[in-house]
Amino acid sequence: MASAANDGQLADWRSRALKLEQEVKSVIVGQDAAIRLINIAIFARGHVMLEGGVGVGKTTLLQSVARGIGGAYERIEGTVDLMPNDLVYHTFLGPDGRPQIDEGPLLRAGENLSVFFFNEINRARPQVHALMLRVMAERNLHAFKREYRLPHMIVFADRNQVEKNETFEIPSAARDRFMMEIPINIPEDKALRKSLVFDTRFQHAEKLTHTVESGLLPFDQLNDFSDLIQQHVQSSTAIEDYVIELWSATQKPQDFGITLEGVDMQRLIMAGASPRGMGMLLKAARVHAWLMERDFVYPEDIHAVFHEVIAHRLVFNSMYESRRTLLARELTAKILQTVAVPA
Amino acid sequence: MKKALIVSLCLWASTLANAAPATLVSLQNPRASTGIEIGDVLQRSLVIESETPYELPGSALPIKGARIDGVELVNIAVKGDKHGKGHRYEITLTYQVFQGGAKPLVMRLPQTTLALTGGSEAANITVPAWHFWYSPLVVGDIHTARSNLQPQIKPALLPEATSSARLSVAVAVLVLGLIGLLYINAERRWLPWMGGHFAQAYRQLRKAKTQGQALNIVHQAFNRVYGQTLFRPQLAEFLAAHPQYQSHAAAIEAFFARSESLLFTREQSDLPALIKDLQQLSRQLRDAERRVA
Repeated sequence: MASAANDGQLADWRSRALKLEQEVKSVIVGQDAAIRLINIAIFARGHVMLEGGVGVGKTTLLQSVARGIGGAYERIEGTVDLMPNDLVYHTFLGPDGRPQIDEGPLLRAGENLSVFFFNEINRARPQVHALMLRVMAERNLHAFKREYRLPHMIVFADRNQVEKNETFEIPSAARDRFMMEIPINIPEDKALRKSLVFDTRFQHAEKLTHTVESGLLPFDQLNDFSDLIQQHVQSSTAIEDYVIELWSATQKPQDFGITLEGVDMQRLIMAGASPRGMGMLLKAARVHAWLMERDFVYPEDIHAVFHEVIAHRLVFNSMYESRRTLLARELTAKILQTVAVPA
Repeated sequence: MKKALIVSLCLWASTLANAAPATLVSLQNPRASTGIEIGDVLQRSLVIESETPYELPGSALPIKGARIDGVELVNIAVKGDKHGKGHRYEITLTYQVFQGGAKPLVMRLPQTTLALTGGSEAANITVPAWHFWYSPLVVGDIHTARSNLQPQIKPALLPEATSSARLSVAVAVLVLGLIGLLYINAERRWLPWMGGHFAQAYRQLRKAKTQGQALNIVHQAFNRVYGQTLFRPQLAEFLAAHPQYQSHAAAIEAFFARSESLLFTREQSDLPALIKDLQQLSRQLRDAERRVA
């Protein structure tokens, strides 16, 4: 009986999730894969980092998703002089001319905060990263002599990989808190490119975002439903063994015969994926399996999220850090090509 | 020919010498003069005619049992008749060879003189000796045999070119057929492309102990052919890269679907039936691999 109820709930939420995808796809063209990954992260309750160049539509994409999820949406811009307290409170002169203190963007919406968008996070100082690290992990913050709980909050952050001036590299511990780092690239398709340039509706991002139906997902039920997905979708021993093999390959790719051109494989990896990262991999894979209407995780579910969940967790030798984006993509692809499901 | 001439001359001479009181009308010696061996019996027949009053008495004949130079007179047969004014005698002398030895040698039937009586003058008939080659049963040595060899005509050879060509073609067809059968059915690597990945999988499947092992063997074959790990979503790329398996696309798709169910869900399968199915698939793909399917 409970199982039948769960099946109904799973199907109902699946149709909502797919509806959200469709809504976002209608305003963001050429980013279907990224939209699917963001959808997975929402239902796996993971934070997301978007990576891409300037003006590729990262902000519009996140605003569209935030509108679909519903709940409160807050945003802050990463700057070199941004301090942690700027997220927690801000001071201003009140109408009576006396200084006043108000809650900052992180606390303003309280438990209703569903999406916190940190724009250009790599421009913020490490102190800010540290604060975010804690909030992302614990989803609470002590301020104004009380505890603020942020149970439904998902952090979306983006970073501009092109510009390096006045930026701070996000430490690996902070990167590890993000479930996914999703690359947002300019679409290759010529027709889509034409559409982005010549279709006037893409000139007004704000108006475009508002065409997305709001509150498609009851944001305050997402945590519970996410737990249901994780309990419902099972993984076999073969899949578990396969994931362990993949994990080993992120740590010692040379043991699997993986080579990258112009790279000393013995020196490339300083640290492979973390246990938390592998846990997140399975979490995201289960959501993918659910979206594909399966009760069990298949390798293709792992593959669908592997790069985005694992690549940013790999710690490369500093001599290879400048080529991180390219090498990480190549390495994760080679791992998937090489590692087989063990017998 | 030469011997016949000599005998004729002898008969003519004896006729002239005796003024014809008795004449040797005919003399017939054995037909073969070579290859005579110990124990062989030789006969010579002669006909004598005499004028009256001359007759041939029994005492004028050679003595039966007399042996001369290894040749024994074993029988004498005489038949006498009136003939015109005189008599006609048909005499058959039978000899047997008792010569031993390991070497061929020339022997003879001895010369015989027959004295006729009854007239005032002596009348003799001389039967000349007849020579022949004695052949030993056992030769002394190879040189003796070789010196006594007689030339023989070689037997005509049967034409063999056609038969040989047919035999060669038949053998070639047989060998090619056997190689073909071997190529199609053999499990081990004896010829190029025989040790393909699916041929190995087909062989290894016999040793599979678990469902996972059996499935993994076939998956490994696919991975090796593809050059990387092959999963179900990549089957279209795989078939495009390896069109020889295109005709088995449905079977391959079914295998991957079944494998996913067995490996990644809790579904179980009957192992012997699974191995049998996988062997059948591996065999089909092995044939495709060898491009004989």
